[in-house]
Amino acid sequence: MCIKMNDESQINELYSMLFNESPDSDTLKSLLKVFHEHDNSMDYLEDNLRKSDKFKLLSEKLEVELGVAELYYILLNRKPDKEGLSFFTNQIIEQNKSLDWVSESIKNSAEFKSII
Amino acid sequence: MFLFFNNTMFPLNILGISHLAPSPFGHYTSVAMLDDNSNLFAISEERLSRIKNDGGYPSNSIQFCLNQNNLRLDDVGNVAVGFGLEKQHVGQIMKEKFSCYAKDTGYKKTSIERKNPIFYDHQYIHARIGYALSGFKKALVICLDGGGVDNGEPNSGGIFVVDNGDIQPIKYFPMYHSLGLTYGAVTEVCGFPMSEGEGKTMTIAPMGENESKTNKEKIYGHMSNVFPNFKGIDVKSNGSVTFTSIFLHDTTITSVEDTRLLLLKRLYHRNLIAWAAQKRIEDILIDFISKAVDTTGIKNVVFSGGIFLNMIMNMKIQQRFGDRLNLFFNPICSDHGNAIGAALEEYYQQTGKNPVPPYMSLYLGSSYSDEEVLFSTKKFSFKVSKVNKVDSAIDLIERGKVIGWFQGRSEFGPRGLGNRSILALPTEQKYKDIVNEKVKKREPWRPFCPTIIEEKSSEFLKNPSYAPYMILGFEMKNPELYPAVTHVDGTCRPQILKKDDNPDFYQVVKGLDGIILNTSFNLAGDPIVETPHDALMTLKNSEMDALLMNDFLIEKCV
Repeated sequence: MCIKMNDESQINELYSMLFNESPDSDTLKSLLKVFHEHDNSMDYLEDNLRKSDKFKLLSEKLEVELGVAELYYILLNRKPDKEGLSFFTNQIIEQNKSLDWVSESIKNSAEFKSII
Repeated sequence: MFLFFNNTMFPLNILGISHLAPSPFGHYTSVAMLDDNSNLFAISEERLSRIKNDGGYPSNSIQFCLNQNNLRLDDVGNVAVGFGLEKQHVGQIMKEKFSCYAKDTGYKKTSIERKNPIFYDHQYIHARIGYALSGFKKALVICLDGGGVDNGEPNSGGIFVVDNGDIQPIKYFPMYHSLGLTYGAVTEVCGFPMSEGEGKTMTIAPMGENESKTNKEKIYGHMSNVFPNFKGIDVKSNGSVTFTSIFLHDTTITSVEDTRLLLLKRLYHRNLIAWAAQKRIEDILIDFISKAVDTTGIKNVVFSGGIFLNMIMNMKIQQRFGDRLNLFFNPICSDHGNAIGAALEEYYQQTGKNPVPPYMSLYLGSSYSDEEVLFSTKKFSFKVSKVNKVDSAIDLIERGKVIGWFQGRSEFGPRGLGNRSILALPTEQKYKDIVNEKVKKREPWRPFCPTIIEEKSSEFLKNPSYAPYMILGFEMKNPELYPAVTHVDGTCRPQILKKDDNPDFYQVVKGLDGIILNTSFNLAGDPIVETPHDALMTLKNSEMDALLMNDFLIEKCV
């Protein structure tokens, strides 16, 4: 039982890390089944989750977020605030803006001008 | 304080310390004693406190160094510390800009305070120890690590030109360009602790090699935006990595809050993240070295500072430049080594000389007599018999046993080089599995190093050169024949052993066809064993088959 709880908590942690949410109980059960069927391999389970449609969809958004975050570090020398990251990511995904547009927007900000 | 003899002046007993005082935290605390006959003794606090990477005040190791030389603290002439001080702690500046006394020594309420220690700049001392061991007369010394303090300012590296012992800095790199901290941050997101797990990041990196080209190109692009933007020796920040840290008495708990790395962790498997970080740091260093050599025209290059524990990177540097440059990788390049570096620097300041030979032996710790060994065994229920240790070792290992090997003075630094080692056959995968899982109790993918006798090195390795310290990687010629000491990418990190380096250990390796699995004598999470008692505890707590200590075979009673 102790081992099972440990497995569950590891799987929970992995799932939360990837999807930023906890798995529901049915998902957790099915993940535990996959885990046990493949030699209790967390690597296998991680690969499996990364190949899921849900993750593929999410990863497109994460790539955009990453691009925006990199611009914050390069141009403003700081980690992005939640609001800014969310705003620019949405502008790219929903309004078809580009990373170049984000870069120009940051360069036009008062914060950037105060740095240079 | 000096000793005068025939009108010649000799420095008297220098105590070198690597400890971050006056800061209340630190890591890798070590102490070295250079006595008035230029004998060197050195030990890390962790070996005595039994706390891995102990960064606390070195009370045990100071006392140990004094005891080895039958000295009291009053007999010590100078105390030198291998860490510079930030401006607010600097008192009187000495010797141009490279050393100072502290306003507040940081050693208050300790016996060291009354010795008024001299604090030497950090990268400068990394340069001193690397240069001293290299044997070069003139050299370019490249120092890179997580961070230190030189000229009162925190930095993460420096380039120095050293001519006949005189060290001149060319350039320092600020903390926000820290390659060590960036690699450490990647290590954290790979799931290993910074300052301890970087070797694991390096080890899993080749496991990302088989990922898709598209993914590799994508993540390498991202990783280039995480690492500082080096272009040769010119550098710009891409925005330094962001952390939160909790400072404890003798350690730092750090967690990465860098948005880029946290997103990379979600997007990619850790093997691929490690692969990209490893490739990035290799590419940066290769550009960096090219530019530094072109700028100075100096062909002898020494590498020091903690990032040069990365033996895969060192191998790439050796492969790229080995045919046209003379390279030396400092085997005690992390902050441990600065205890010795500080003592050597103080000696140099007093005499203008370097007291250690090129490729100095790292057997700098204590040895233990047969009486001490037998006394320790009395506390355990082991079978003890007097044997010929070389013959016994060969016999046991040939029969597939995994043994502990303990003799002579302990090694200084992170490697077991044949005096505090666990030994096994290199020829079957099962020995790697046994040593990882049943003996050292660590992850099954962790690789082991071989010890190879020098005469046979070209039989086992592609383009071997003398490498006595396990600091440099090589490609194996026939990796399939030695799976227990070959990593997934076909490389290994050998100790290439000459007979004079360690005669008894040499005979053991020679008796086993010239190659053996040799890993440091410790369990996962423990420091390397120092005393007979530590070795016996390790035998007791692992599934090691036997222990050869001095000339005694020690076995568990069945």
